[in-house]
Amino acid sequence: MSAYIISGLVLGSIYAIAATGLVLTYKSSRIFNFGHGAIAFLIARIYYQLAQVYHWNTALAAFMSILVFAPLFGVFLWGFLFRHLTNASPTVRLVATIGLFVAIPAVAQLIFGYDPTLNTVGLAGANPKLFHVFGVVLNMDQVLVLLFAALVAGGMFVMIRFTTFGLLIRAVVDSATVSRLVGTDPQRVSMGAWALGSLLAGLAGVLLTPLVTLDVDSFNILVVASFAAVVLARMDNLLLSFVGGLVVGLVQQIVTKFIPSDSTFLKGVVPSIPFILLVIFLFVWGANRDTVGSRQQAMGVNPDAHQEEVVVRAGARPRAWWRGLTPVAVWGVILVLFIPLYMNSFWLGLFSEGLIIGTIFLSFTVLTGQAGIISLGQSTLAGVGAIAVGQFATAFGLPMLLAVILAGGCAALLGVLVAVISVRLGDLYVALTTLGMGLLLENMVYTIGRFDNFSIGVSVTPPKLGPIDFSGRTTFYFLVLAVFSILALGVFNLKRSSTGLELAAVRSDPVRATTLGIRPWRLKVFAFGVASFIAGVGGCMMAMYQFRALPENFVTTIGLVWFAVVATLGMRSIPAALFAGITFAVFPQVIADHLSQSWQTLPTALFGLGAIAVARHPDGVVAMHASQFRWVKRHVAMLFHRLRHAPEPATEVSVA
Amino acid sequence: MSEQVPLLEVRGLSVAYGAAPAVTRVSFELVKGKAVVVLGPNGAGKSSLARAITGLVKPSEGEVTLEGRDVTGLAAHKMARLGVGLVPEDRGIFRGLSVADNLRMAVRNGVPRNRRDAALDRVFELFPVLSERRKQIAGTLSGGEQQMLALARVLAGEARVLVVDEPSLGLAPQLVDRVYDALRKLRESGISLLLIEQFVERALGFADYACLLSHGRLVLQGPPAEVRDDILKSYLGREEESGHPIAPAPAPSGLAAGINLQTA
Repeated sequence: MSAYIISGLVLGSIYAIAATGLVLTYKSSRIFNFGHGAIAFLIARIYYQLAQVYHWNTALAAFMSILVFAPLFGVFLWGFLFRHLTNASPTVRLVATIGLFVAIPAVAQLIFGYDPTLNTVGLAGANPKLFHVFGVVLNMDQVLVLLFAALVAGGMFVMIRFTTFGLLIRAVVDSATVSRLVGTDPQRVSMGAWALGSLLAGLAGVLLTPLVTLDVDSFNILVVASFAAVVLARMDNLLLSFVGGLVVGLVQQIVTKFIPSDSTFLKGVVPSIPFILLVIFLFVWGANRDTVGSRQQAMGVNPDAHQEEVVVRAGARPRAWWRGLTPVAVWGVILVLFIPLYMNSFWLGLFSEGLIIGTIFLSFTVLTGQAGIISLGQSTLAGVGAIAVGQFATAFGLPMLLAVILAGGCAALLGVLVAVISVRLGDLYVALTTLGMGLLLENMVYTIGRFDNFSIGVSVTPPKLGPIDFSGRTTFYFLVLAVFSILALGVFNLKRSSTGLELAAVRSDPVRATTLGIRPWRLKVFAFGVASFIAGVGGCMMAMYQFRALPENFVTTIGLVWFAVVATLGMRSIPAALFAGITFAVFPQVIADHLSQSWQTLPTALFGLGAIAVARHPDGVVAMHASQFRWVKRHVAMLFHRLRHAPEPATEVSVA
Repeated sequence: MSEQVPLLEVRGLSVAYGAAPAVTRVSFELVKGKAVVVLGPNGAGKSSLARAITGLVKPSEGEVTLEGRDVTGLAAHKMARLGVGLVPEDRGIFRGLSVADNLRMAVRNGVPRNRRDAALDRVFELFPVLSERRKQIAGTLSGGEQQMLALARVLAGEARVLVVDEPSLGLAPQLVDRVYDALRKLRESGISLLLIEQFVERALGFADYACLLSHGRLVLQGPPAEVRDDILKSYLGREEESGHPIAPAPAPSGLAAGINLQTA
């Protein structure tokens, strides 16, 4: 038993260090950094590069990566990104840090290459010294983890309580305005907190290096485990977040002792413990509904209560349905419709895939664009749809249409369940719950033999309708187009309906919407259900496209990249979802055709960076370019107007 | 220093939130060791004026100078370091921090290290109640004590100009007396005060100069003795009893609209 406790403490210590850094930055800037694990990965990768590729002295490599590069990177991120997010809406803040989550590992791979990082060595060197404690063998790496954890815990306590920097952080957390009034620039303090938070992420990353493989997925586990600790601490209490990290690590290791090693299902449990704890903690907070945040928001004092500006055309009559179709959208749709006539079957297939992903992206249009909710679990919901259609259509032999509807229903049910748990807690918690749900299902449901089917998945064949067999590339393309169009029309109608108007009202200001008799909670759960259905149906189409329902094609990290793509190209409009879907499918192929293998993560990096750029243009680049286009159009028109009416055109042209 | 040299000068200051004007071309000056009171009903733009002077909001036009130096639109923390302090309506203290930490924050900027202890001693001498409660969390102090702490904070930070937004808001009359006593002491110690108030009589009894804001415009200004009757009778249209806040006023009309002194 003591062996499990000690290994639990070692793992928990790393979680605790990461969680402390996360809470520190959240407290000082109200930005929850989803990219925290990505920073840990980057610093660990740099450490590896210095220590094992360039063969630097271990201490020097650790010093440079953890104490020099990590804080500088934190300051860089602050100056480049977080500083500008102070007054951004919670949604935009989340989008930006999810962009980091996606972009940093991809950029790191672009820089350092794709060679596997083997035999990663920790701070104790290649042959760590062994110790015997309570009959348990500990190596120097593990001892160092425990020592650093104690140092961080003690150091943070002393810093917060007794140092000037600690006083400044407490003051800025208490009130940024009053800090300004006494002559302290809250932004400077925030910069310091980001430097320190990044340092702690880097420390956790380097400490984790000898325990796991140095790849992005292992580090995602780290970050989600620390999310659980952070949620336990309600994002607020540094000490509690530290304890939470220890608890998560301990539970994870102790459970190992009691689980028979031959059970496939239970083997999925151990890596899922952090997510299970995350969901349990969220559930406990959910039971305690009257959170401080909601009370403060109701009182109008919460800095987080800054809401997106949404223009609702008050009192306007519902517009005729065709009024919303801009010429650009119409031409876009016509273009898409005729593409198959000019393409070979490979590219046609890619466009079909793009349309399917566009279909899934419609769920973001409803969820994020209309209801203002961020879900990181859309790939999971699509996966549930795919798995379910495999079961209904192939295993149970139901007609395809019925199977697809039932599969969409399964996804909707799961979506509603997740929404019921999380929506009341607020945007950030929804994002965390959906992420936790995705990772949980990925470990525990995706691996079930019945669904996984020896990693080839259950076969799914596109349906036949009379003489038309949708298995052909062209016919399947039109099937996908039809499904997209039907769902798009549904989304379009939802937007115009009174429910759509209520959603807009809730997105704009939940408290005021409540005073109008709208129940934001119900409405958001409804939106979640609709969006999940759409994602589930999208998953079914994806399964048909691949002729099999393979769960591992719907892992959570894919969902995060999807989110970044949609965030970059626009959340609000249906054409943007279509465009984003096709971009996601086609762009990597274009890169693969024209650039060498070493550029393979470039698309992911660009999608992530795009999401970061969105922090400044929350409607996405389509809207951004549309407004630039309008600007150009207006100015050209003005120029022509002046040319025509000016008595002396030559002197007036300079206006442009 | 000559009393004629203005310490803080506000010229043609306007504040707008989007398209909505809150303050329109207000001008006045503040002399060292004197108190100017800005009166006006709710929504007259008093708080916006205070926030624009201290850098919490950027003015849309006009300028603010401190000892002849242009400080218009300077960020609030920079204004604070130059010695222009604001005690906002909600008191402006760190509610979650102890009294001692509040004061430590106050002396951190602007007071040299070797003078900080002396500054704190002076504060505790002036506000003995805070000395007794230095370990207490500020949010748990009574309303009056919180207001004392807010003023003490400015005093400790060695501010030269203090803008106080409605210091008597939400306080019992006895406590209001104590707040005004404290303000008097601050003025005697050489600090220039810009007082934002709704309590007409008490403010006029205290100030050296009075201004009346209405709908964002300065409609009356002068020494209290001269403008007192105009403020009470003409603007309100009735005699106001001492100690009562001004009732929400109708649009300026008649005499008030005629005596537009903003260009003075």
